[in-house]
Order: sequence, then C-alpha cells, then structure tokens
Amino acid sequence: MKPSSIVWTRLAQAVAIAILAFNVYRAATCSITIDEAFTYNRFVRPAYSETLLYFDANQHVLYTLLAKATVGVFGVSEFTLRLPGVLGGALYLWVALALSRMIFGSRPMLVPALALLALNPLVLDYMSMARGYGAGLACWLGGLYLVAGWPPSPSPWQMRLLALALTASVGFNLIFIPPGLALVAWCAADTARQKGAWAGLLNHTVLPGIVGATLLLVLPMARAEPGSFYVGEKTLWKAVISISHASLLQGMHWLPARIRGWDDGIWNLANVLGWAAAACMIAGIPAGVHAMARARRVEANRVGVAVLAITWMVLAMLVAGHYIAQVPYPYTRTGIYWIPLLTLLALWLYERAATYTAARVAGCTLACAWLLLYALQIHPTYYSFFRGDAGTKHFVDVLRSLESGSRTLRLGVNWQLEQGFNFYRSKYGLNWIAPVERYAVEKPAEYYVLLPEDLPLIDKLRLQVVQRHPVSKAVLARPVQAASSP
Amino acid sequence: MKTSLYMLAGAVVTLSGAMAAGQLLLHALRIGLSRMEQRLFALVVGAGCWSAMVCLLAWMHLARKGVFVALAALLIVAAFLVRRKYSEPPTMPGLNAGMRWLFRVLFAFFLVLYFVYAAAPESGLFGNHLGRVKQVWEARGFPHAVAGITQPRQSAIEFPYLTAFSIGRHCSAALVHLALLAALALGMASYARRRGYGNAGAFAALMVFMSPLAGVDATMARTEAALACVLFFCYYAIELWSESRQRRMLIVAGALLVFAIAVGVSPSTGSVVQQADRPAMLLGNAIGWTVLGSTGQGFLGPVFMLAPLGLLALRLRTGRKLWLAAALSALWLIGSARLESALPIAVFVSLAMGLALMNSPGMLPLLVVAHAVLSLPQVAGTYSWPDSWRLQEWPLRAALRRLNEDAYLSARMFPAYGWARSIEQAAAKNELVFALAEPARAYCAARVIVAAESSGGRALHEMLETPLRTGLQAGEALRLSFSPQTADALRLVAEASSSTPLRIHELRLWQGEREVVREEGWRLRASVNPERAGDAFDNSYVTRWSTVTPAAQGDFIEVEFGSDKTIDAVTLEWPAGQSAESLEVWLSDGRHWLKTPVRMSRSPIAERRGIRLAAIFRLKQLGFRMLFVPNADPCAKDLSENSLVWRVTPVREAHEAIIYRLD
Repeated sequence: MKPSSIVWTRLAQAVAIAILAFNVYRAATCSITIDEAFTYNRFVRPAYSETLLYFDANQHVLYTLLAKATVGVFGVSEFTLRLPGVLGGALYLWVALALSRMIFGSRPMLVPALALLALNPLVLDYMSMARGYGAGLACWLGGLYLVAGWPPSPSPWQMRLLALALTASVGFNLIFIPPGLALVAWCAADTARQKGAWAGLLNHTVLPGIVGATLLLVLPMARAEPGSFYVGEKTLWKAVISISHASLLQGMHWLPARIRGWDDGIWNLANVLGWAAAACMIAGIPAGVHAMARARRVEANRVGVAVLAITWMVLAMLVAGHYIAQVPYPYTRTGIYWIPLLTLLALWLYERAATYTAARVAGCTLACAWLLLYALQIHPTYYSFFRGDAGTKHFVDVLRSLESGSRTLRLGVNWQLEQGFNFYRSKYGLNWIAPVERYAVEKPAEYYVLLPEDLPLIDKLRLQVVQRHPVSKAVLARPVQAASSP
Repeated sequence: MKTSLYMLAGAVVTLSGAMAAGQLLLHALRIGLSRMEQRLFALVVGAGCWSAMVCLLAWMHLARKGVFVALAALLIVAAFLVRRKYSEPPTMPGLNAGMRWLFRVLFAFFLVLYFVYAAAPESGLFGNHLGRVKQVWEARGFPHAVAGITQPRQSAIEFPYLTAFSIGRHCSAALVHLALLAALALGMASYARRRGYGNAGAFAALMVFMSPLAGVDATMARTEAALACVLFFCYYAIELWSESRQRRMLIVAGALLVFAIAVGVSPSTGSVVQQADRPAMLLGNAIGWTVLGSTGQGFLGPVFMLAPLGLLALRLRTGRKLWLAAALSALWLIGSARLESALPIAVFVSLAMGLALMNSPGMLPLLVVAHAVLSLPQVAGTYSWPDSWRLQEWPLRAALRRLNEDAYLSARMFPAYGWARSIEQAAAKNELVFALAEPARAYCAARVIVAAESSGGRALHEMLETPLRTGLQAGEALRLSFSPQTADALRLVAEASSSTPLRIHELRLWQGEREVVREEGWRLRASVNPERAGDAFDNSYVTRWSTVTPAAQGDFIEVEFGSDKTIDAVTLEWPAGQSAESLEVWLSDGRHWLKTPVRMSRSPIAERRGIRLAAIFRLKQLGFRMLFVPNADPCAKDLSENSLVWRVTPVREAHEAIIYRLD
C-alpha cells in the first residue's frame, strides 16, 4: 500500500474519531429534548413489566432496554440515557468508514465520503440522541456492509451476523423493516445462483431474524393499535421534502433575516433535492447493469449495486404499503435510512464517473458545497429539531440556585417542556418541585417557563421575566408579587 | 395428609386401570410398538376403554368406589399376566444432547408446577364437568331426567373423572387430566423421534405442555387437553399404520377417533364465541389467542405468534400431514365455538413450527426457553389481560391443605362456591334445585339444574318472569272459525315471515260452543322448538310454545288426534296485539292437507290471578323442590316481597342470593 493511502485512511479515521468525540460532548452537555425525556419518563424509568407492555411511536424497544441498563448501572443523566445512542453512533461511523473504503479505497475522496455520510444534521443529531434511530441505522448499515463484503459462499456465521444486525435495527425502530426486508431480498437475489444458498439464507438469516424480532417486539406490540403508528406523511413528495429539509435547513436558525436570498436559495435547493434523488436512482440503473455485467466482483460495484437495488425495493415497499395498508410515508427521522442510501448511491455514481476529469471536478465541487451546508448546521450545544428544549437544563439550574427547596414549587411550563422538566426533577431528585403538568402553563404557579408563542401570558398573568435563553428563546418568569416579596 | 393420599390414590387407580385396559387391548391386537409408545398408547386407548366400562357401570347404577377399585385390580392383574416384551423399532433417531436435557428439565419443572396447581382444591367452574360427575356419583349412576329439560351431554372423559372422584374427590380428577396432557407431550416427542425429527418433537411437546392455556386447562378437570391428547394419538395411530401397514393399527385409530368424538361432545365450557365473530376469531384474533387472552379466555403464549413460520414445513411430507391434521382440528373448533378448542390445533401447528425451524441452529432451544419464561404463571400475569384465564398465584399451601379449603375456594370461585355451600346446607342429597345462576355444582350434593344451561331451563326461567311481565302473559284470544269439518290432524302455519316470534300460550279446539277434550293420545309436533309444543296444550297460564326467533315462512304447530274429530273453530291465547295475518289453518283427512278459509275474531283476556302459583306449581310438577335466586335476577325482588303469594319459603340467604323451598 502506498504511503499516501495510509494518510487518507488515517485522516478519515481521525475525522471519525473527531465526530465521535463531538457526539460524546453533545450527549454529555446538551439539554434533554422532549422525545428523550418522554422516553425516560414513560419507558426507561418505569418497571420492565410496564415498559414492555406499552407501545407508542416513541417506544424504541431495544433502545429502551439498553437505556434501562445504562441508567441502571451508571445512574440517571443525559449522557447515560444517550449512551446506547452514542455507541450506535460509533458503530455507524465505523461502518460508514468501511463502506466509504469499499467504494473509494484509500483515496482522497474517502474523507469527504465519510463526512457526507456522517455530518448530515439529521444523522449527526441521532448519533448522540437517546432515540433508536441512530443505533438502528448503524445496525442496518452494518448489515449492508456485511452483505457487500460477503464472499460468493458466505459462512453460516456471516449470515447469522446479518440476522443479528437486522433484528437489532428493527428492535431499535420499526422503520427499518422495509430496508431490512430489501436487504434480505437483495441477498436472496445475489446468491440465487449458489446451490443451497437460499436454504442457508432461510435458516441462518431469515428465520433467526424473524424469531429475534418477534421475541423482542411481541409483548410491546401486542397492545399496539393502528393509532400508535401516527408519524408519517400522506404523500411521497412530502416525505421527500421533509427529509431534504431536515438535511439542509434544520440547523439554519442562525441565518440573519437580512440574507433571505441565501435562505430562499437553500429552500429551493431542498425542494429540488427530491428530483436529484430520483435522478440518481434512475441514472443508477444503467450504471448498475453495466457494473453487474462487467465488474460484478469489484467491491465498489458490489456496494453500489446493492444500494441501488435496495433503494428501489424500499421505494416499492413504501408505495405498496401506503396503497395496500395505508402505511404513512416517512417523515424526516422515520426516513433516516434514505440519507446514507442516497448518499452512498451518489458517491458510487461519482466513483463510476470519476474517470472523466469534468465529472471529477464537478463531483468534488458539489461534495464540498454540500459539506459546507452540513457544516453550517453543526451546533454543539443543542439539537436543531428540538431547539425549544435547549434551555431546559439551564432553567433547572437557575431554579436550583434561586430556591433552597424549603417550599414546594409549582411550575407552569409550555407543554413542550413538561417532559424535560420532569426528567430533571427525577434526575436531581427535586421533590420540592411539584410534578409538572402537561397543559398547566396558565395555572397558578411560582415560576413559569414560556416559549415564544406563550409570551402574551407575561402581561396576562402579570409576570416578571427572570431570564431569557438565547437559543431556545424560552423565558423564565415569575409573578410580580412573588418577585417583590422578600 | 389423608386427603392428599386419597387424591393420589384416586388418580393412580384410574390411570392404572385405564393403562391396564389399554395394554390388554394392544396385546389382543398384537401391535408392535416401542416401549414408550406402547405405554402411551396403552394409557390413551385405555382411557377410552375405561370410560366405556365406567359408563356401562353408571348405566347399571353400579357407580361405586368398590366396583371401580375391583375393576381396576382385575384389569391390572390381567394385564400383568399377559404382559410381553415389546421390541424397539429399528430406527428411533434421538434428540441431540442439549435438547434432550432441556426437554427433561423443563418438562419436569412444569410437571411439578402443574401438579401443585392440580393438587390445590379444584376451582374450575365453567363447563361443570365435575358437577355432572358429582351428580352421577351421588346417584350411583345416571340420574333420572327432568321432563322438558335437556341436560348437556356428558363428555366421555367425565367417566375416568368419576372413578378418580369416587376415591380422591375433585383434585384426583384434575390429576387424571394432567396425566393426559403429560402423555400428549411425551407422545409428540415420541412421534417426532420416530419420524426422525427428535429436536422438533421435543420443541413442539414443550410448546404445548408449557403453554399457559394447556397449563390452566389441564390442572382442572376439563376436556380440552384430553381431547387434544386423544386426537393426537389418533393421528399418531394413523401415521403408524401408514408406516407399517398393520391393519390392526386402524382399529386403534378408529377407537381413538370414537373416543375423541365422545370427549368432544361436551357443552360449551368457556367464552362462547358469537356466530358473527367466528371468522375474525379464526383469522384475525391472533394477538388475543397468543399473548393477551381476554375475560375468562386463555392464551397459548406469545411464542405462538410465530406459528405462521410452520407453513414452511409444507415443503415436507410430514409437514403437509400435520397441517392437514391441524385443518381438521380447526373444523372441530368451528363446531364447538370455544377458544380453548384451539389446543388440538396448537399440537399440530407446533410440530409444524418445529419442522420449519429445526435446521436453524439454536432457534428451537431459544424459543423453548423464551416460551418457558413467558409461560411461568407469575410472568404470564404481567402481560396478559388481568382477568384472562390462566394459572394464578402459586397455591402450594392450598395444595398441601395448610390453607382452609373453604376460604381458598370462596376466594377463587366467588360467589359460586358460597352459593354451592348454601345449597348444600339447605337442600337434601339429590334434591332437585332450580337455579337462576350457576353455583359451583361440584361442591353440593343436591341436583342443581341451571336455567341458562338448556332451552327448557330458559323456558322455566321465563315462566317465573311471566307474572311480573305483562308482555309474557296471554293478553287476547284469537278465534279462527270455519265451517265444521272432520279431520284427524290440524296444523297452524305461518304463511309469511314475521319480525317477531310466533307465541301461543294455549291452543284450544272447538265444536260449536264445546271445547274438544284433549286426549292422552294426541301427538304434538312443531317445526321449531318441538319439545315445547306441549306447552300450548297444558292449560297453564305460564307456559307457552314459541318459535323463539322471528317466525319464518312455513313455521307450524300441529296436533294429530289419532282419530277423526269434528271441529269448527280454533282459539289461540297469545300476547295481545300479536299479528295473525299470515296465520292459516290446515286440516288433514288422513291423506291430504287442505287449507281451510277462516274468519278471525279477537277478544281480550281478563287479567288472570294465581299466575305466580301456577309457575311454582309447574316447577313442583317437574320435581323441583328448591329454587335458587340471585338478588340480581329480575324475579328476586318480587319473590322476596311476595313469597306467601308465590308459596315459597326462604330457607337460606348467602352472597346476594336466596334459596327458597317450594311449599
């Protein structure tokens, strides 16, 4: 191997480690978000019997079980609750690096490829949040990596490892059922010419996968109702837009209003991203056929063709599921697997076209621009989609410094913050704060935490602002009489 | 201690007697089986033979403990004398070591667990199997029938229970049922080993044996596990015949099929599934069947959610046979409409699951262990519906009789057990009691007929309500006049469908102004509810014949005189305002039925007095001496306030119910 190859690999590994460190930092310091707090309050904190017998779109079963273990061993904190997610993020980075190496080898493009796969704001957030999306994505992508690297006759252990990866991904979140099925279908198609391969796949992958997923999910799902699966979009186009907006605009809060043109440009870009994705998928067909015919065993082509086939199969499944069973289309995070799928597809197409200088230059330019957009959305102190929660931890610290705990406090908080305050109440053992109610922002209380939409209440309830949080724009306030009393 | 010994003795005598009978039969047929198969077949086939013998003894009113013991001893001695050595068949592929140990450990663990549950005082209420057993035992044979009341047919498995009950009482019968479940599990393992699928067989046997439904069912004196066992051995016998072509094996299979039919004829014993719900029950209620259960309804265990994987076994010949057997068992389920009847299906489906998963390393032990954990009573209680039918708390103290039996049963069978004890104290042995709610009949010596259990019982209940509900009384008389005619039979026919049932309290025939006197030899028929046709000819204010459901075109009631009668009018006493437009009179001259044009006239019937007395008189006429009325019944308040008018005397009050003596 050339010395330069080692440099690019080492650089990519350094980027991966840096991203992991960044994830660890965020997991330890970011204020808890509403979804994470709900996960803790509703699933992690209660007994197993209660946790496993309830299903909601927020219930990510395997994540709940792992978080129960980490919280049980290390105690309650934002980091311990997010630890399984961080570990999932580490796995994702490792797999993303491995897949990037399969496509580009140890060439300069390896580093941007890894960055494109890992720095998407949606993916980056869920690599450290206490939800099952990130870990599920890592497991599923791990399955893809296994399949892409399979020898012509995979061993039973490799097939069982694939079953484990897919079972884990579905256990982390049901959204990975379509891509998991597509991956298995691709395996079946890929190994169809091997004698006895289907039987091996059935016995070592399909059946263990079904058994594992059933054992993991049967109890929580037994009480699920159609209404439990409420997250989703009604049309495919809206699903595409939601994912592209989450990738390109979620973290652009800092954009000043005076450069609206830039903002509008990004909006327009997000709107056309769906067409770009479609173009990639269509352009991939001839590329895939060519790759299958000429260079089937080349690692990059194995990845590319697998991704292309899976992309089309997942799309078909989503459309069929929508029309046959009225399953909603993905909405931002529930379609998170599309991000690495389409990114890998685009990277593979670039690699196929990179023999042409013009294509190489255009591709590099596009990748750099894209990375710039991602970089502009990196926020170490909060999660973009949950910006309103960014101040919860700070306000709890303020309350702890203001109050001695000698009296019982009632808090009137915006419903979006209720779960977060109850999490911190539990974390710090703040029994002198009464349990925070969901819709009690207008009820009599000693302190109020208001989001921008609640600000008219300051005059209505005659409140005095104690502090404003610069990121979430939330306000900590208290009644005027209380403020004037000694 | 004495109770426990008797309990064990009852089960041992019954099972030994049955096994001996089976061994004699197998010896006579000279069928070659392995040692394990021979023992299992002897037990199951012998249970059928034993059942037939005990049934015969009951018919001869010889149902006595001494007779049963003597019969068992005779059979055991005979079996000992004719015993012979059975050779192992040439190929019996074994289990792998891990699965063998897993099977032994889990089978033994759950057997002990179930044994304790079965040894605790029997608290099975639904189905009243032991109630009927006790009635036969008290009468030392089949008790006489109550006129007009069709008693549910006795299941054949109740006769082995009778033997056990005669010696060790209730728990002894439950142990017999448990033994049949154990035989089923061992039989499944044995069958699969013979077919070369040892691991799959051990898996399937444990799946069924450890299932919460099988556990709760087999630890009570019920029928479902026994039915599953007999059906499976019938299938096993057919498979053995198919393998060896020993025609005598078909005799065994036939005997088992007859026994299975006789076991399965028992009445509905659980949540009765409504007709409209059956397709949903069969196709879509998988979660309820496997994970949650429902009120009073058991469940197979969450691992059975993987049952569709068993379809992969269709690629094997044995798998196809198993699915065919499962489909035939499902026919049984449709016929009986009981969810517990899913147990025989589960037997075949779990074997198919085992075949489908046997080549997937580690899956069978994983699933068996998961099933074992999820089937533990303490665990199953956490995820199923709170009032689902399953094993409750560990009854070790109750099983060892260190807990007061009355207190235990009162808590487990509230209020049915308390009612039964009250009836026991108020009524004499074999005295006929009409009950408007179901007490735990296995715990009282009186003969209790529950109103809701038969159409005749429901009619009697309605009869008791007649004085309280004007709508049930005859409010008008409809006279259908025609030219005098001589006929040997008369038929009233509904010529069109109606939205309400056709109800006739009294049907009178007239010749001029004189009523034609009813004679003993008149033959009464009806297209619907024929057993109640006599109620339209009994001169009682409180009885009536009805079509029960809305009258359909062609519904009729008919009287055949046996000789020619001249009549010119018919009067029908029935509820006021009942439609008569579609009603027609047909007369027979002995060869042809001829429609007769009629003139209709209606006249109101004055309110009758003494209806309450008439109702009680009718009950007494049927042989009832006591009336058991829960306070929630519509009749309860009036009976309590006007007991003198009813001519009943309250003799005991217990648990929101009153027991009356009919004066």
